[in-house]
Amino acid sequence: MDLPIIHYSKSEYIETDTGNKVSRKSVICGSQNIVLGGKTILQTGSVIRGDLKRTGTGHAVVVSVGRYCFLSQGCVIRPPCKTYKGVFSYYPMKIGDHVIIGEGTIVQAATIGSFVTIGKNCVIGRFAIIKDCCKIEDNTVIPPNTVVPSFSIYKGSPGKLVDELPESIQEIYEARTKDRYAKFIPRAD
Amino acid sequence: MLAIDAPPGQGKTHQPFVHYRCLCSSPGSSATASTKSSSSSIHDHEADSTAAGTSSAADMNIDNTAASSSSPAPSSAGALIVRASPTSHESLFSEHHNPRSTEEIFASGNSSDEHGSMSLSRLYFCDSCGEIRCPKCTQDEIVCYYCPNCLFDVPTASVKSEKHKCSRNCFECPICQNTLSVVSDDPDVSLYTPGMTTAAGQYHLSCNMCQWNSNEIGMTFDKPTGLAVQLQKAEDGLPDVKEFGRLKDHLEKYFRVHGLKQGLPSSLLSSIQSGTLQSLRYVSSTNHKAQQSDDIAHYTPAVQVVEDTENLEKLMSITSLDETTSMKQRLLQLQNQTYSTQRLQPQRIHLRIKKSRRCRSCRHILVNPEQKAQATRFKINLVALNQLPNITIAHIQPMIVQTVSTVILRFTNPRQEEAHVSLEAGDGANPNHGVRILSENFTIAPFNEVWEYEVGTLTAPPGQAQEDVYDKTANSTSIMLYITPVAPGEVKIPLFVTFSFKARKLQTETGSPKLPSQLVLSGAAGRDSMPPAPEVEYVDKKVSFWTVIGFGDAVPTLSS
Repeated sequence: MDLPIIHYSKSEYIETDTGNKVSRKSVICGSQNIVLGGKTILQTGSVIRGDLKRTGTGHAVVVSVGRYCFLSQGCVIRPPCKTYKGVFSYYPMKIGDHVIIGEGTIVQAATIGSFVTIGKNCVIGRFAIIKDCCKIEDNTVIPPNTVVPSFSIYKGSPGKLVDELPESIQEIYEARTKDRYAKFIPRAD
Repeated sequence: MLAIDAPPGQGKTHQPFVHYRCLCSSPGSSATASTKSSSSSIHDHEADSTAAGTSSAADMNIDNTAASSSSPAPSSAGALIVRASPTSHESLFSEHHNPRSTEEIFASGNSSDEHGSMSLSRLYFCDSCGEIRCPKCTQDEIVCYYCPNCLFDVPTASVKSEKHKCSRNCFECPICQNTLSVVSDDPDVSLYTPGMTTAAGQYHLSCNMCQWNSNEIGMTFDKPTGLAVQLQKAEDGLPDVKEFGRLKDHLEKYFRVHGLKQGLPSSLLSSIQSGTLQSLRYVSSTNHKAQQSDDIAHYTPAVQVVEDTENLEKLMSITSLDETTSMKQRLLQLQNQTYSTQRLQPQRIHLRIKKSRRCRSCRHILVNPEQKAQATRFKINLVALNQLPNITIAHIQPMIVQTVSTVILRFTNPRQEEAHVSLEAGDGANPNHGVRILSENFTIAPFNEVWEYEVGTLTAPPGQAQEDVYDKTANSTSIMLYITPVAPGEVKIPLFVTFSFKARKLQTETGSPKLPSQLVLSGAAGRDSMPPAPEVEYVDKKVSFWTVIGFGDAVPTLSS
């Protein structure tokens, strides 16, 4: 089935030069430390914590999000933290292209590759690494420091490998995120 | 499973879908497979299933949605189709998909749908056979082994000696099977440098999920590296492991002498885990069957199993289930299936494999990934998605019994050549819903990368627009269908699609006459005029296949 067209009110979303659509009702902390790759949509209520940066250093990229990403309502992106050599610090997070993050999901991963779909109400633990072409089902908990290899489907709490994705998944996810962006259009009024 | 067992109209509602049918699932295929490649293909099926069962990376069942469905295809239907010996390519081809002789096809397609057909994304398309291939009629081959945690490639030579487990610092929790991390008692020392003086037993393994800690079982390490070697040493010393090794050595002599060619490929033996008596019994029984000889000398076990009264007493006296290990935990520690949680050991992580796929009938490679474990690209990737028209339901009206509903199907052409599609509705389905296709023959414009950037702005070039086609944009054409459901419940219709296009023909393909090409080669255009240097010869290709399209549940009319 085709994705439905989502109409949004023009006053709610800010569109940047590179085509990012950011809701005014989202919470963006430390925006100078956040990079959005372009054509990325941040829906109502999504939170990105760019203010949680490494202690000591000045300006640095804390959260970088690739192109054609879709951060659904109420998802939280916060950089991972740990105590290293007695010093508590946050570490940068990188999200690739064509990534969909579901509603109410909390992400504290170190890296999320490209062509990844994360379902609703998931928890991605600290310093988890999700490689390219992966799917995390709804309500999954990925424990801290877990590595999710390419072409896996993880499900459950704790998240376990349940299936593999087909070889064509890259094209499918790419087409889906592009379609989703094309169908996210302002209401005509 | 539940959805199939549940009576129609109750429980789960059906979602609209478009499924494509692979030949192996339609009744004609059993005959096709047996004529094409005799009994060897059947053997392959068996070998593969054992591989999946015993392999260390047993999690690789990609088609579990298809395989888990309960009811088997009606195998008897295969016998109903009488096959004449094929005289030309064309007759062979049309025999596979005969749109007119086919109540059986619909029967299998409609009654147990998930079994026979699947979404286009899971299918492959064999170029030289000109057929759709599903995961079951492709053959897997291992390309490389890698650890799913550290993602390092493991050379095939060392896989066997390391027992299909990672030999680096990757361990899984014996309680919850999650990744363990090496931690130090001293929080200030997180990084280990060689030559550093550390307190003895300073390091231990800790689970981030269930908070299990290797201190609980008294397992500590002096340094945080090379832990796998220490663990493997402890593993190898266990009596069951030694016994298995001896038994394997004992039997392998016979395997070498008699050859196990007919039974199991030798590579499979390596994936049998130590301690699994079950799999060992399997090996010896297949060997026995294949040879009809029992000249294997009697094996005397080195370890005598004594009656375990101590363990029994212990188990009798437990008061809480938490004191014993679960079945799953025991089965993950085959070499030492302990009942005491105190004796569970952290396990090295099982390796996973990358695999390539071959067409079972013509042996051509369909999917070949890059050798590196971390690469996600493919050297060859003949997925159906890039070669066959992608059918999507663009618009759908709610289905009401005895009322005409309009459905718009969009056909998207992934090829760089213009394609022609002709459709034919199957009439043997049960219940036989009324189907009217407004345009049975139409063309789809080729895929052009430029269009990616101008989505929606392009329509068909003027003059070419067909009147009965609903819509034409970029590389897709939409058509209208009128569906009249006759009975409540899920509405599914079989649709026979013939897809023809001009394909680039490779010089190598023309040069090999042995190729079992079943393509309809009608007039190789420009064969004479083209110089041999650029290998762009075009041939007309025609691919036919069945699809099953579901439109969700039909609700009964108010009057009925």
